[in-house]
Amino acid sequence: MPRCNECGLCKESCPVFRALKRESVSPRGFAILQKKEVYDKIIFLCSLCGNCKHACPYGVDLDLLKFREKVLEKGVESSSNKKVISNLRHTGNPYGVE
Amino acid sequence: MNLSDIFTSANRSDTEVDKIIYSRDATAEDGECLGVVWPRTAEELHKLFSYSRRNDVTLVPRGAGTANQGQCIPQKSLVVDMSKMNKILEIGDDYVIVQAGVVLDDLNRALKDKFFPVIPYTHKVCTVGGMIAANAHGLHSYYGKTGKYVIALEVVDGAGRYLKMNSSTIKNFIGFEGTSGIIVGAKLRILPKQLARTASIFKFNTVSALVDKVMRLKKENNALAIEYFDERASVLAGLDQGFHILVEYNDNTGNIKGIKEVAEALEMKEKIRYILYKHRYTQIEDPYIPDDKLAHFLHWLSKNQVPCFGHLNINVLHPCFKEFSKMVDEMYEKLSFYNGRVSGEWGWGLKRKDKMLSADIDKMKLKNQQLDPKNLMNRGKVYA
Ligand SMILES: Cc1cc2nc3c(=O)[nH]c(=O)nc-3n(C[C@H](O)[C@H](O)[C@H](O)COP(=O)(O)OP(=O)(O)OC[C@H]3O[C@@H](n4cnc5c(N)ncnc54)[C@H](O)[C@@H]3O)c2cc1C
Ligand code: SF4
Ligand code: SF4
Repeated sequence: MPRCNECGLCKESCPVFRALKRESVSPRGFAILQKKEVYDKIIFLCSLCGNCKHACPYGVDLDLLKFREKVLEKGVESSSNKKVISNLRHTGNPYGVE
Repeated sequence: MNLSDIFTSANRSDTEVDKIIYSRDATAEDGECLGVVWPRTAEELHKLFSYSRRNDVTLVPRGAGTANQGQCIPQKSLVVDMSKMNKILEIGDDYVIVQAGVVLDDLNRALKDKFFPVIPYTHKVCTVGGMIAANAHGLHSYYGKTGKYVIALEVVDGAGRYLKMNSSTIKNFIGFEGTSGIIVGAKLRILPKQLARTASIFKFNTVSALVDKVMRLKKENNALAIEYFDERASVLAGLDQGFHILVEYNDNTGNIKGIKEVAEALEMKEKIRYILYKHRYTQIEDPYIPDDKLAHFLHWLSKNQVPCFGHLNINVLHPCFKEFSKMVDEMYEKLSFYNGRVSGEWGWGLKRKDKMLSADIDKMKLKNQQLDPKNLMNRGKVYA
């Protein structure tokens, strides 16, 4: 699997980057965090839509689901993620509707 | 005055994550980022310069950060990300007025039956401000560089002055790699969309026969692009053994005619760099070589088994090397022997500033003494 070379060509395919225009919330941003093993809750802003995989001309798959799992393993989690998981456990839906 | 007096919390950051990410650009090397701001107005930029002068904080303007020679890598600087200033303000018959952070493909989509003709490989993400500061080339070198289409600029220069620049003064911002100030907005010339497009592929057994053909094509002046594939690139691109050129015409000359067929042929020129990258040719260069030495240089690359593609109507080549190849330095020596230039496309930035010609450095320094007397803009780059 080729490694991300940080060209940035996938950025505009990312719905979250398009909305926020913040490089740290873009596939390239997440790729840098992955490379540097920085485990931060910012990764929970990724919607896991997979667009960046299709947009990458080099065929890179950042596998951000796996990265998110790793971030969780390190005990780092966003409060909304915690809430969604707890809602799912208790009510069976992400919104906590009884 | 603090940054919090100028920018809302959503438009400034000094978090560790932002500092790590904004310390890099497409060069994939680290710098040192003090923080990031996302201006929304020229007024904010003007205030930012007061802050920067008072605190001796240097600024690095950034568009999409696709610069690949370290142009956006901060050297203990604050990064000014222009991507939130991305409005298209006015579309006229033959011009458009935009903010600097607009993405080129977004602009061309909005222009409908017209277009901005300089379209670099990075067109899906690169910004107009970044293209002007880099004086970017497009996939159709026939149209020339970005600077050719700039009618007027709105800038805040390194001294913090908000200026409207016309055709006689804009040149101090075109190709200056963010060292003279920040481009806030631009008035650009646009063209009616090109309809007739055809292509042809020519095969040659020797580079000298190929270069003869290229010289004839240049005289005919109807080729939008003349793309080179050496014998290694040809095979990887799915062509036969031999040297090839892929010529794209702005009329009916080519023998590949249907829209789909032309698009398929042209895909090759975008894909070749990715294919070479997958074959571990990860260091791509962008030398310029004059007409009279083109055949010699191509022959030298071929003899030394350096895969190469490039844009022959502007004499810019992309020789490709594996990581840590010693051939790169040999190529630089050869270039100087042939009166070529190390960079014909991607600029100098941080990585290649020592390769810039001293006459060019002196010219740039002289202009920047007036525009950026305290050397606050992109310090450490190009010449500083
Ligand atoms: C895979 C790949 C392919 C490329 N292909 C091409 C190509 O075909 N042709 C080509 O010419 N280049 C090419 N480049 C280089 C680069 O993409 C282009 O120069 C592009 O125009 C830069 O636009 P950007 O918005 O990403 O600018 P950035 O990379 O963000 O910045 C480029 C330079 O402009 C300055 N800058 C940015 N915005 C402003 C502003 N508003 N005011 C003042 N200065 C500013 C920066 O400080 C920097 O020096 C390529 C790069 C990559 C990684
Ligand atoms: S994922 Fe692909 S397109 Fe995106 S930055 Fe990495 S190499 Fe470039
Ligand atoms: S998977 Fe995440 S990073 Fe990739 S495009 Fe979707 S939201 Fe962006």
